[in-house]
Amino acid sequence: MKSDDKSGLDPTMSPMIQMEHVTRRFGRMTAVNDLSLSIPRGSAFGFIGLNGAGKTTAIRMMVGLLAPHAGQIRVGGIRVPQERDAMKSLVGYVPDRPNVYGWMRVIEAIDFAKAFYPTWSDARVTELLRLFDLDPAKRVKHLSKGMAAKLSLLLALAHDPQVLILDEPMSGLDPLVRDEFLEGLIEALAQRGQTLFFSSHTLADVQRLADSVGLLHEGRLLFHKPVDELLSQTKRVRIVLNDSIGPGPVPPGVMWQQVTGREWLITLGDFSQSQIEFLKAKNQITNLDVMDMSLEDVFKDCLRGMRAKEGV
Amino acid sequence: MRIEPNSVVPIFQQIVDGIRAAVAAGVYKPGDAIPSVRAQAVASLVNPNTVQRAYEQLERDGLITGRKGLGMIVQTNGRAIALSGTATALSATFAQAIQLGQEAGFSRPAIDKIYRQSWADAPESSGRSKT
Repeated sequence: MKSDDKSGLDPTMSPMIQMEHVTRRFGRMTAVNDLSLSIPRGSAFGFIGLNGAGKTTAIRMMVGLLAPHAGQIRVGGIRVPQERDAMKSLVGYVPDRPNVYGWMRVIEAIDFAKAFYPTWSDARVTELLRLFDLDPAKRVKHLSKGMAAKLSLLLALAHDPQVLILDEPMSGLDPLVRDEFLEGLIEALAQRGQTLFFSSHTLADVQRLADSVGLLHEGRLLFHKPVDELLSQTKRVRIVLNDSIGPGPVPPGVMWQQVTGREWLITLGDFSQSQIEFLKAKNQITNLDVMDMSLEDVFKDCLRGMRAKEGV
Repeated sequence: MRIEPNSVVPIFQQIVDGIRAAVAAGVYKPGDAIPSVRAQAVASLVNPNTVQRAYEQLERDGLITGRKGLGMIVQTNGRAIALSGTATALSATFAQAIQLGQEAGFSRPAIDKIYRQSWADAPESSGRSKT
């Protein structure tokens, strides 16, 4: 690995995380279905999807805690789970459930975790304790939720990993505490430029943190795109229909649509002017507006569209 | 700078617009350093990569320039560039408003009348020259 590479965003470099056709079943249920995903070094990826979509299963396979039934996983070029031990120093992982004993003091929890990592840095711990404003003498069970989340993050960062994998790191945190946690995470990213892979339900957090976003639905990846590209390519069209005639044919790329009285809402992916020309040419339209969408709107309409498709 | 993460405006664009507005308003004068990528990322709680990309855009626009050891500095003509950027954004907003009126069937005089009325309704801003 070249040490002079700071951006880590060179697309010609090998990706930090690569999943190819990964499948995992639990009994008859397929939790992750033919998932292929490639995350460039130094970039931040937001993994979104409803509860039970398979995000945690995918993450547990990525960190070597669960073996896939099919497919290949590489993290930093290392095969997972086959070479899991070699991967350990590379990855900082914050699981979806706290993994720290409540009766321990913060410093004891740190010493406990230290034993598992050969590349652990005490200097980094001191730095992070200061950065995160954590009291080493406090008992873990007496920490606020935000402080406990920051302790988990500290434990994941102390061996100076190149990639951070966080499973729902901010769920259950109130808004102020979430800001505190975000601040710690962003400080760490700004210092070291790690690759970040995180799952979240909160689209606002994804928009804050992610360079690219992937939507998992029933084990399948619906899309993976840079956030800015996704927002510029997805538009909501509001059409006011003529009284006598209902909605007619739609162009390719419709994600979701709904008619309420004279109002016809269409969410278009891969937006282009030709889709608008198509709608105008083939329908009796009084008025047509094209509107930008937030990430949350895109997420909801995409899932509504999937549900509508499945319902038929 | 306030970042609205649920907005339809991408965060990258919000940072570009925010710095441009701050330079136009004189918060950062030519020769001043704008906040470092790290400071800006932590202050607005956004990914440092996004701030970096926004700064690169502002550098391409000629508003700021990187100086060794000093960070990003507002260019000598930075304010003019910021103002022209704001003028472009303003013009786009007006175009959008005109389209809104036209689609609803308003004539040009009708739209002009509403525009003039909007001036009367706008809050009086002190300390600004009326040119």
